[in-house]
Amino acid sequence: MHYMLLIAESAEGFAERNSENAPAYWSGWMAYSAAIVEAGIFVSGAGLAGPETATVLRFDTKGQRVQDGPFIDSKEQVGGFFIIDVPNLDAALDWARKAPITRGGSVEVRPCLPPPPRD
Amino acid sequence: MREDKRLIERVFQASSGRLTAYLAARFGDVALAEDALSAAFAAALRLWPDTGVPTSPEAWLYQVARRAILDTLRRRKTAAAYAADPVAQRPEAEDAPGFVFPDERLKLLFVCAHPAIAADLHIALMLNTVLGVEAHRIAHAFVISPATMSQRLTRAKAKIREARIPFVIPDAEDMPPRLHSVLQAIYAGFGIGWDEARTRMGAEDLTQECLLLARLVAELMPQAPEALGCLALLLYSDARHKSRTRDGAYVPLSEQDATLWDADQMREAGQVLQRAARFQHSGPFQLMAAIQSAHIEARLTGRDYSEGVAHLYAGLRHIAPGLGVEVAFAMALGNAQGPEFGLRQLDLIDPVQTASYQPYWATRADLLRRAGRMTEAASAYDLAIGLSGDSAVRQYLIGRRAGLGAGGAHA
Repeated sequence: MHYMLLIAESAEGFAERNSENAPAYWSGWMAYSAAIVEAGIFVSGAGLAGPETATVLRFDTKGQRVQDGPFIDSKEQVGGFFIIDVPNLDAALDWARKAPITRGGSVEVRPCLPPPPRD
Repeated sequence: MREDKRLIERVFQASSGRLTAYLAARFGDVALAEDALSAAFAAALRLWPDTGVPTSPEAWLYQVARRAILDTLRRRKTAAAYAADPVAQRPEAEDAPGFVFPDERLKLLFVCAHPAIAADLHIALMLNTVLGVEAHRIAHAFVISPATMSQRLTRAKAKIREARIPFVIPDAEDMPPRLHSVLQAIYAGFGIGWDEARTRMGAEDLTQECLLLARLVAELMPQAPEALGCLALLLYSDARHKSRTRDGAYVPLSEQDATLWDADQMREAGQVLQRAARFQHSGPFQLMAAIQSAHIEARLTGRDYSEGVAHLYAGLRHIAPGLGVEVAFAMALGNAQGPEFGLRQLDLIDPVQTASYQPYWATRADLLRRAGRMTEAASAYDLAIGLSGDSAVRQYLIGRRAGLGAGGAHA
């Protein structure tokens, strides 16, 4: 079963990336990714550039509009994601728990829908 | 014919919890298990009056329900491109004659109280899936609309399936918090039943059903002292059920008519608590049960256990801190060492937390009254009365307020 771990970090968390703590910050995530790959459960994933680099294409009654900024204004912003292949929610939660988030944030764990049939 | 129907219903009642749990665990889907079991029950009601009740009714019901599930899964697979594969058929141990179902109810309880399910829904799910209590009855006790309750239950069951919450007994490391949420849900449900029992028909059953669940967990986990502690706590509380109100007003334990207490149930509670104590691994439920036990002993023997109670609350504060425990600890100190000591302890609690917390004001009022500070007591009673959601408690406090005499009357 595939689960997405949607990783959100606080502004302080994002700030770590360019601070003197940056080496520790990045090595935490490198180690985490490596552990996921090593466990044989990695399906896909990526770290994302900061929310200030986001551009949103909005669909509403006025049609489509290109806008600046992440799509929701909140204390936490998506910083990356993993798709992992594990047997059940408890196993997915065990991996989510290991995320090296140190300055506040969250990991949303969501089952992926199974892929449509090939034919 | 009617005899048959009653017999069939008895069979169903006796086995539905276990069958639901077994099918749900087998297919990872509570709603699917329940629907299939209802269909099997309907078939039994139709067929058994003619054929007679089969020698192994559970196995019969299981086979019919399993066939219904496999049909549904096959249909889903062809109907929706995104449907999951039907669970692979394995060689069925269940088909062997004399097969005895493993009891999977504990796994089902852990699924119902999984942290991925909203905590306020844990007990509703347990009652609904394990005991088969209908959504509309649960809604009644929880004072929400039947439609809302049944929608919330349906969504939770869908989440169990879609997110694949596993039907497993938590491992040793996860067990303490997971068991605590099972017990906490049962305890909360019992409390709801208790609060509502005076005003709402049928809600009293909720306490009995929660007691059944507590018995079930204690029976399935005889090595878990907290499960025993929870059962003891509920038994102690339930034993005093009849004496808790008089003429619609709440009666505190110290003034309850002890002749109304159920002696057999209190004896059982004591035995269960002793069994728990043998494991020498204390926990919040055992401490709360021990506090109940001490209060009851004090009433029955006339001895003073107030120091012991304060000591137990100190232990509870340490392992299960919270506002309720802080306030109860202050009261216990007040009883053991004098009201001024209790008041001093109350003053240590953050006022932001206590501003609208009814038990704080009720406790404060009582301690002030006993300290002879009648004017202050009167205004604390006023706040406590204003904050009471329970009419029996309100009536009790109004009586106390009126009894303050001249000192408080003009406050």
